[in-house]
Amino acid sequence: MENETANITLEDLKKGSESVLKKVYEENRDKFLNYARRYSLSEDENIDVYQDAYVIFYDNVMSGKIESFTSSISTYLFGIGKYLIFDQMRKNKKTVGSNYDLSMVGESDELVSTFEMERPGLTTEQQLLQKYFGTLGKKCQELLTLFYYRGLTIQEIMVAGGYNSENVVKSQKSRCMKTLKERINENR
Amino acid sequence: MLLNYFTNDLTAEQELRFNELLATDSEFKQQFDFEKDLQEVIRDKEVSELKSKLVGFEKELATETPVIKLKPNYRKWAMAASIALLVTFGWMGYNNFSGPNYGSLYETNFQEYPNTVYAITRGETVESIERDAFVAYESGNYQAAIDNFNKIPASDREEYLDFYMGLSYMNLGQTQESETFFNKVISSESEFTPEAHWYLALISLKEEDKESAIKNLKILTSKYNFQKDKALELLQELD
Repeated sequence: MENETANITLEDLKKGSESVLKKVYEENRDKFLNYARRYSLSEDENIDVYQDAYVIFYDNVMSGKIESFTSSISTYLFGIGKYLIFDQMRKNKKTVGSNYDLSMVGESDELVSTFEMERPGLTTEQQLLQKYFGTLGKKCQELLTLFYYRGLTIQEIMVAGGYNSENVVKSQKSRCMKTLKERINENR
Repeated sequence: MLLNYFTNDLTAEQELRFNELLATDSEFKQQFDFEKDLQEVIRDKEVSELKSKLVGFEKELATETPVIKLKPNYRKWAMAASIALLVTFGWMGYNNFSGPNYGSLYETNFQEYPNTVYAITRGETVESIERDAFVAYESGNYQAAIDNFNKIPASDREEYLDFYMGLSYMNLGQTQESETFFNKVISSESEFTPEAHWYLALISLKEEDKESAIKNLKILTSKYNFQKDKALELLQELD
C-alpha cells in the first residue's frame, strides 16, 4: 500500500483528481491516526487534525512551497500533524508537561518549518471579492482557479480548457477580471 | 509581467523591474493587489472545498466498512484476542513455562513516550543543548540524547530530564540504568511518576520479574489514570 502512495507524484496531486486525493487520504489515514494516538486528543479530534494536516499539505503543494518531494507524503503529514496536535492540546489546555510548549524538533518538523500553518482570515476587501467571484460564470471561475490557484500557464490552460489559442485564453481571462471588477464597483 | 509573476516565471531581471514598478507605479500596484486578493479568495474557497471533500471520504469509509465504527473497542478486542492466543499457547505446550509470555507482553505494550516537555523559553545555551537532546531522542539516537542530557548542568536540570534519561536507556536496552532513573522520578514525586511506574512494570515484564511488575501496576492503577486500562488487563493476565 505504501509503495502506491510513493508513486503518486507532485504532478498527480496538483491535478487534484478526486481519486488521487482519496487514495492519498486513505493510504495515510491509519498510519497517521496511530501516530496521533500517542497524544491525548480524542479520536474525533485526531481525524479532524488529520484532515487539516492534509489540507495544509495540499495547500503548500499548490502554492509551490513544496517544489519536489524530499520525503514521503506521510512524513509531511506527520510534521504538520504534530504542530496541529500540540496546538489543539494547548487549546484544550491539556498540558502533559510543566514547561510544555510547541516542540519544533525532529526531521519531519524541519521539513515543514517553512510551511504556512495558519492563514489569516479574509480582509473585508477579500470578502467582497469572494462574494462576487461566486457570481461569475462557471467557465470564468474555472479559468481563474486554474491560473491563480493551480498555477497553470496560459499555454497549459489553453490545452486543458480546449481553447483555440493563447490569445483566446488571455482575452477570456481579461473579460472575467473586468466583469468581476465591475460587479464589485457597482455594489461598493 | 503580472502573468509571469503568478505562474512563477519571472526571470531575475524581470523581478527587479517588477519590484520597481510596484514601488513607483500606483496603478500597477493596484492591479497587483487586486490579483493577489483574488488569488487568496480562490485559495480560501479551494481549501474549504477540499476539507469538505475529506469529511466526505471519512463518511464513506465509515459506511463502506461498518467495522470501523467499532474502532474504540477494536484495540481492546485485538488485545483480548492476542491475550487469548497467548493463554491458549500457554495451555497447549509450554507447561514448563506456564504463565504469560513476558517478552510479547512487553513488545505489545511498550511504546516510545513522546517528547511533551521541551520548552523554548529557557537560557540560550542550556536550551540549545536540551534541544539537541530532544532532537536526538525523537529521531531515535538515544545515546546522543543521553550524552546531551548529561551536558546540562545540575542547576538547570528540569525534573523531567530524569524521566527522559530513563526512557533513552530503556530504548537502548540498558534496563538497569533505566530503572535507576525511573526510581529517581518516583522518589522525587515528579509529574511523570505514573509514567515511571508503567515503564518500570514493562521492564519487569521483560526481565520476567512478575512480582515487581505486579507491584508497579498496582500502584499505577490504584493511584493514577495513566494507561489504566492496559495496566488492569496486564494485571489480570499476570494473575
